[in-house]
Amino acid sequence: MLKPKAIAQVLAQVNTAGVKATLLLNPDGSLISFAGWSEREARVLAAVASNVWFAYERHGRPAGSEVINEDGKESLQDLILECEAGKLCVSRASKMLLCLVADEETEWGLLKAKVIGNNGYAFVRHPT
Amino acid sequence: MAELDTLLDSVLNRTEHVKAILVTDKDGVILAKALHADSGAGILEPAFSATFSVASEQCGKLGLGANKMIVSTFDGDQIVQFNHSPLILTLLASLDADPGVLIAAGRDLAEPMRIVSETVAKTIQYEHKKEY
Repeated sequence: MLKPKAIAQVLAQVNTAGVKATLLLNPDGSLISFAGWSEREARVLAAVASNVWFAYERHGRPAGSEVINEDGKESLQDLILECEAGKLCVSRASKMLLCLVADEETEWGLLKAKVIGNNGYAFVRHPT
Repeated sequence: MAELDTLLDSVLNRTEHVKAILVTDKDGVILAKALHADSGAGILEPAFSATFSVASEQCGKLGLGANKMIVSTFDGDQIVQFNHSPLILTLLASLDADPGVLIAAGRDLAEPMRIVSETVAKTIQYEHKKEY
């Protein structure tokens, strides 16, 4: 059982060192919880992040290099997007997606480390 | 384009674990390429470059400005794609490669890519004018 209060608190802890918002969303793009930003902005971001994630999962790598995992699916581990005014990091967290938005000064490694660190939380690993 | 192929080849040879470097248009049509000897022909499939175009376009809706680069990490390999509109620079490498090295290699190619992109953009504009 997911604990919404606890999730929001954990997500809020990620919002340091240039990270502006952290979102936890379902694969279909619906928002589970978020910290930072307004709800309207978070919903738009969740929809776009989910869309880009699944586009990459389906067609993001060249044919012939697919590695099929135990579930019989190809696995996209993470996705980092750099824009003119910020960076976006999307990663799989159990059956959900974890999305971080940071400013353009934030280092790539820090962003990736935060995602890996957040995935280590029990609620993300074992959501049921 | 032969000069660009040579340049891509030199970057491929001096960067460890890189399987391929491609310059494509937004539909995935290849303009220049450098392939590692062990790379399969499937790498030249256009679909995955087109995915970058779609993702890049979607990013514009986030209010974070235009998309400059996307790094995607899969189970077996990682892909770094740079937006040099109307062209896309793609570096495909194994997971052993450091992403920072790939990004630096891509940035080394920024100036030649800018020159080629501007020429392609002008040619496209000229062709459009001729049509009307």
